[in-house]
Amino acid sequence: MAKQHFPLTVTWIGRRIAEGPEGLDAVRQHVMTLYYEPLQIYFRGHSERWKGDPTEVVNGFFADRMARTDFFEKWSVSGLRLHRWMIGALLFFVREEWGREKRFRRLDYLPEDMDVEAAEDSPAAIMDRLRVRSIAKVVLAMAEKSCRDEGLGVHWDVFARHVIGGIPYPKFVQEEFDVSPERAAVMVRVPKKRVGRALREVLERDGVDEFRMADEIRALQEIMREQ
Amino acid sequence: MPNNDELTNLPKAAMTELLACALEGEESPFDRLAARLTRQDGSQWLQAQWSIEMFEGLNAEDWPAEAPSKEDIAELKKRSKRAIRDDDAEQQLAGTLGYVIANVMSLANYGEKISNLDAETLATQLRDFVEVLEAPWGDCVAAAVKVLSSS
Repeated sequence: MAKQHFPLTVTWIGRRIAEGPEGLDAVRQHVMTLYYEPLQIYFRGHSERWKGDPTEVVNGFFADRMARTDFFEKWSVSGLRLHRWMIGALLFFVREEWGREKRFRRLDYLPEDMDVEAAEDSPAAIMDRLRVRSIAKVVLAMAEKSCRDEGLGVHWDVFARHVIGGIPYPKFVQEEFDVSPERAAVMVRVPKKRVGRALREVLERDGVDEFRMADEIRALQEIMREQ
Repeated sequence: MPNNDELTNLPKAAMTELLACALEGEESPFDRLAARLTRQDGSQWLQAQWSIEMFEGLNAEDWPAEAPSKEDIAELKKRSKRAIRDDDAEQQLAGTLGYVIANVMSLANYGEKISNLDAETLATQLRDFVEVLEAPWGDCVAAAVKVLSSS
C-alpha cells in the first residue's frame, strides 16, 4: 500500500491532540484499546519473540511510547497507516530494549538474531487481520452499550444471536423472544446501524478520513475473505 | 499463528456481516420509531401517545375505524413536522409516529401521497410498520404500502 501523509490536524488524532492533555489521553486510550491484544499476538508470532514476554513487551512499549508527546506527530510525518506505524514502533522498541539489556548485563556476545521460526504469513498480513478483529471487538462493545443505554437490550440480543451467532430468525426468535421472524428483522435494524456508526467512528479515530471510509471497509472485508 | 480467544472467537461469517453493517446507512427517525415500538413496553407507549398534545382534538386513535378528513390528516402532518424538529428525542419519536399515521391514512383512505419522499423510499420506510404497529394499524399500513407499490 502506498504511503500517504496524513496532516495531523485533519485526523481525529490530530484534533484530539490539539485539545491538550485530555485529548491526548483519549488518543492513548484509543490506541491501547485497539492495539494492546493485536500487538501481543503479533509479537508472539514474530521471529524476535525470544527477546521478551509478549505481554511485558507490549506493556513496556505502551508505557514508554505513550508517554512521549511527539509519538503521534512522528506517525503523522511517517505517512504510514497507524497499525503499520505501531508495528514498526514496537519492533524498534524491542530492539532498543534488547540493546539496553545487553549493555546492562554485559551480554554483548548475545546475538541480534536467533533462528526462531516466524509465523507462516507475513507479519503485515497477520497484523491486518488482528486489527480487523480488534476493531470488531471495540465496535461491538460500543454498539451494545449504546443499544442497552436506550432500552434496546432485547434488540441487541436478537442481533447478537442472528448476526454474530449466525442463527436464522425462524430457529430462535419465537421461542426465545416471543416475536415473529418478520418483527425480529425490523428489531435488528437499529443495532446494525449502531454497529455501522461505531465502525466508522473507530476507523476515523484510527486515521481513516471520511472520504476513504468506504474503500477502507471494502479493504477490511477483503482481508476477512482472504483469512 | 498464536491463538487468542478474545480476538479469534468471532466466526469469519460474523466478521463479514459486522463489516457490512457499515454500509447500511445512517439510522433514520423511522428506524428509531420502529425500535421504540418493538420495545417490551411498545404497546403502552403507543397508547400513551394518543393523549399527548400533538394528537389533541383529532381522535386519531379511532382513525382505522372512522376515516379522518383530509383536513385532519393535514393538521396532524403539520403538528408532526413541528414535533420532529424539536430537540427532545421523545418529541421527535412522537412526531415521527404522527408523520407515519398521517401518511398511512392519506394513502389508505384517499390514495394520495402527502410526503415529499419518493414513493419507493416511503414504501420501504413504511413497510417495517406493517410488522411493528399492532392491529388494526398494521393493516392500514399494509394498505398504504400497496397503494405506493401500485403507483
